[in-house]
Amino acid sequence: MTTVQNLDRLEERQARHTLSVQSLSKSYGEGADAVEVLHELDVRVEPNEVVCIVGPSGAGKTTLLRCLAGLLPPSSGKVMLGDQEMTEPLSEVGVVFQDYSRSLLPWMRTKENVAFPLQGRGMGRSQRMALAEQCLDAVGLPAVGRKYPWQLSGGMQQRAAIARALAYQSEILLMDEPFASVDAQTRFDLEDLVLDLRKRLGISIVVVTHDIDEAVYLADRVVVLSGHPATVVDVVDVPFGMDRDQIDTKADARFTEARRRILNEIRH
Amino acid sequence: MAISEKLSPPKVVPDPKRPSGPARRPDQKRFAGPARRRKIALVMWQLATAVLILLVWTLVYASGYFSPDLVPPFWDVAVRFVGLAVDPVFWAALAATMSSALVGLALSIVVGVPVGMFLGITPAFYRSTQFLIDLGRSFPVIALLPVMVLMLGATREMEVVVVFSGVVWPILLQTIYGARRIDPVIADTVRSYRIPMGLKFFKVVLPNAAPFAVTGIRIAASASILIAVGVEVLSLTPGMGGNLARAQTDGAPALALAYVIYSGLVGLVLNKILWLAEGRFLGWNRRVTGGGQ
Repeated sequence: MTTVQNLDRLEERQARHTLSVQSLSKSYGEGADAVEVLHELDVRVEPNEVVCIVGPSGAGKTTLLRCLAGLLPPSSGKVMLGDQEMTEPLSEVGVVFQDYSRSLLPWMRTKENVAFPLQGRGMGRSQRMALAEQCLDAVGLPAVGRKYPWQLSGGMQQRAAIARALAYQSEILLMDEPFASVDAQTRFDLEDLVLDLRKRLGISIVVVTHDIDEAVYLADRVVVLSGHPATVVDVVDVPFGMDRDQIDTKADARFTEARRRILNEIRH
Repeated sequence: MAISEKLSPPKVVPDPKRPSGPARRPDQKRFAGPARRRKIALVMWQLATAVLILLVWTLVYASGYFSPDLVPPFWDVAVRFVGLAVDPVFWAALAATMSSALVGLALSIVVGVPVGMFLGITPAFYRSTQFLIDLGRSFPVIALLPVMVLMLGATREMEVVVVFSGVVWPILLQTIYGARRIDPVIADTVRSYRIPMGLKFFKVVLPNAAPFAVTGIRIAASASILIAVGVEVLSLTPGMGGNLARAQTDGAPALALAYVIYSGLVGLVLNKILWLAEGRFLGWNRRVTGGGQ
């Protein structure tokens, strides 16, 4: 019974809001020492869309993601969820951090980690545990709920972090270099998991990455950041739709073209 | 129907052939042999060290540089050591010292951990009390002794107070440190998942501080025995220290040394017990920080 109820809720969470930044700038420091990192960015993430943000390292990708998450106030401009301005983290937006080994709490079992944000919302124990179980299932981790995060491999920990964001019932998932420190095969599996979740749950996903292949493979649109301070130098539409394949998609001429275009922009 | 379909497990399932997680590798058994040999080698080295110390002791004794009233031969001490084990006077002294030390330690925990947590999560209070804490921890507690003896006499209460004022500092400092030192990634996680204050305190700040507080308690436990014995030696309060001092003035150095060795052993055993308890309750911490992952 509770299961059905939870699933209904999850469907309700299907992305409806557009997450956007409007002429967002961010500077660190104050006065004459201030360093502008992001300059007048405009980015939109439509419901059920995958948007990848690429750029050379130090381009302020993570800064942008932290602004989108409501963790960092912009120096000027706005972060909007629908028509509401975001000034703090909102429950519509779940974050998966790059450093999965530190974002999962080592003193809680994996399932408790996944259920923890729900406890903050006042959901009863049995209900949140059932939902956590489901979300672990959904990311392909059906049997590890009783284990501690440090007993899992890197890829499994990152799946658990994704499950936690899903359990939180966010409609928009923000991922900061989520697969930067797992091996290549695990990385492909996780990329396909992201696409699969988008397709099945109807959520929007923002992935920050420095890997251009990954960006083109995942994204409906790739936002290219470059320069100091970083500006949006290009937005590349990727026309592959919902169903993609690690081999066929990457061999497609349009994939190669998008890849070449982005690489040229980042090099300059 | 469409709904349940949405959450059915995806096709991406971890490849069972790939090692996932720290599963025990089949070739791990092969290392059992060398591991045991290393252990035996370690014990041999420890024995050799002990023999060496006894040898140096005997040489010092045999050289006659110190009078035998100051440095007795180790076999005399060994006889006394065994004798004490069946002496009810010794056990009473041990109980007295232990109870003072442990009551002082318990008070330190009861005060140090909550105060440390409070100061750790309220930066304003921490900053305004920091100089007091720095002063307190560097204060030589034995210097308090004459004042305490005047105020409370050479009593059990006085001993407990001195132990407390000596060992509350490591517990307090470690707890403050643990409560303040939240990993930035965890802090971001807690914020972005909008974990409310109370839940954050009990499920994040407290477990995060626990291993630090326990380290403080372990340091404090050894120190509590040390201070209790020290207080007894100086003020002749009944207990191991009192008996030790009396044995020394009565010209029974072997007995005094036997007491010294027992004092050391008590501290060692207490430390070991706490170490085991820590492993039992905070095992995750050793696994996380111990590497090997």
